[in-house]
Amino acid sequence: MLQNPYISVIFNAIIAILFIIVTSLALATLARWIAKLFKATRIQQQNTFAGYLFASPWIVGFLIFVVVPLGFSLYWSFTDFRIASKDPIQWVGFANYVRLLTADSSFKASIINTLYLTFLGLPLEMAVALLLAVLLNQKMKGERVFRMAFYLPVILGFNTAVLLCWRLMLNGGTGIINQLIRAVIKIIPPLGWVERALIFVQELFSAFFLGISNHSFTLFNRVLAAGLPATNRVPLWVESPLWSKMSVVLLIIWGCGTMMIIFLAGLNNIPKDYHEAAQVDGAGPWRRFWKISFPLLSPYIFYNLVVGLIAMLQIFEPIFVLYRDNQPLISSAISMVYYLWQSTFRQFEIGYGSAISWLILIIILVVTLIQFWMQKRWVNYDLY
Amino acid sequence: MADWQWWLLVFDSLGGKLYKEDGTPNFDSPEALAATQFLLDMRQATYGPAANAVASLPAGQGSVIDVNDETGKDNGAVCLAHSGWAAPAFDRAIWEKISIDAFNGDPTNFPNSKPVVLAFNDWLAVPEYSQNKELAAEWLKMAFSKDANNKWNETMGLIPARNDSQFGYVTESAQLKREAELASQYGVGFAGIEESSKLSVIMQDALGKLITEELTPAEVVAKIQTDYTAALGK
Repeated sequence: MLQNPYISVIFNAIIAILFIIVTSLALATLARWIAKLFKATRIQQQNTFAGYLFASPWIVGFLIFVVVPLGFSLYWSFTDFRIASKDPIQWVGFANYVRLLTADSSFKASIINTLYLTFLGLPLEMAVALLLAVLLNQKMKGERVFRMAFYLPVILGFNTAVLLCWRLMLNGGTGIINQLIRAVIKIIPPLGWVERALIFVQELFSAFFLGISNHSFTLFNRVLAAGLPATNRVPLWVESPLWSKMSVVLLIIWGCGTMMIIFLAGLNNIPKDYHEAAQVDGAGPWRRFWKISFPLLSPYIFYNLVVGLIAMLQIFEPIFVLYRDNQPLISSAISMVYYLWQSTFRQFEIGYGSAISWLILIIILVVTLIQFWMQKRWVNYDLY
Repeated sequence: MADWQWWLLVFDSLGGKLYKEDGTPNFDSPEALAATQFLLDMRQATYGPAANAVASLPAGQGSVIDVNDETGKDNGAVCLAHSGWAAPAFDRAIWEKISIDAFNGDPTNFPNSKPVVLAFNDWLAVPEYSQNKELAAEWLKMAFSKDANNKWNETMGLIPARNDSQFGYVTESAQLKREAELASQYGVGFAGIEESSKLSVIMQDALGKLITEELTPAEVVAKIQTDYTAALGK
């Protein structure tokens, strides 16, 4: 019967549902029994049973799909577990972690790339989100259309189809982004100088980071020696290691819709009286923004910073879709999570991959704790 | 030109050995450096330096060896690694100017040089953990049977590794026929590479940095040597 794949799927689905029902009932019964032990009344016991019965499908899922894999992952991170190995799994203690921190130059390069994306991409994303929120907070015609347009990238998300469109748009020769740049420069030739200067600065900056990753500043010296690029130069978004990370930054900025909505909510929460009073005192829009809106938005900035940083430290999809099959460039854009995927699912080093994932967790935890510690100095909760 | 298998072919033609006598990698050998330099020179001769790229950096697969039909400009002939992959169509006039030869290494500087031709399909194996080893082995036998090997390679425009599979499309084309003859005589495959999946990633990574000019040839081989030695745990 189970040879038929359709019947097999239905059979497995029924088994899964039965499993959820049975485990939920078991968990709820256990909760009621514990309540009884603590001498709860009959009504309280019934309420406990009902409450846990409804919550238990999620709890069971959490246990099976999160807690148990977490336990396995932690255990494997101390072993040399490899799928393709015929040898039994050996306990290696902290060897995987030591190798990662001391001997693995590729992991170090992935950390540098991730930091580049985080410290360049996140501030730019937040700045653009804030700018859009301020603009959309003005009462104007078609406000809702603009809100929808700017939020659309969040709905579309970083899925493969969208990212493949980006790949086409970013093509150095035929992509629409470079076509637009060329068109604008043709109309306003002096902008060509600005474009070339920006290309030079960006490439120098990027070459410096690549130099740190590679322990060799060959490319940096070359870019520096070449000086201002040729007049017909355009950004080589997906063709050069000097631009591979900047393309990802561009995508990050494009997906700033969620941050924008949060900033918009924050701006709406600021009482209008503050602005009116400042206006009466003669403060202009610029001054009012920096003296009233910006300080009162600090809790929202903090929230976006924490969530954005966690997301940025786990960035994977844009790099995977843009560069996975672009061998000469992938190493210049590889992130920590991409490296984790590569080690675990390309080289099947489960033990080593698990160690990478726990190290990433620790990095995220430390960065988040530092942020919470530092927020006391700059986040203003006066309004809340 | 950033492909690790091409690199191995050049390395082999120079008489290079992947491992030293003590089993450690041999990427710090003169042959390794020469192979790397050759690939870089070939790429730059074809496409120019990466730093000169204006709107795109060619991926470096295949060769630019045809004449542009519209402008009549001859792009000049360069090395074609093997088979008809990325080559001009076999009926193009340019083939009259192209000779097909084995890769001869550099006998002047490397006395152990030898003519080689890359002859392989893909790297297929039955893993130890496979649940149906016998079935998988049967499938491999079928895939590499005389007829299947011919058919498989025909779809990809490659030369079959089996000598008795070199019929049909192989003998119908003067170019592939010549290549097949060379492959029969000088064909090499790759075997006995330890941690090959890791080595492929390490080499592709380093060779990528070579063509983007992030690293010099000497830095590339040093990086491969260090990373591969670490991967082997030696």
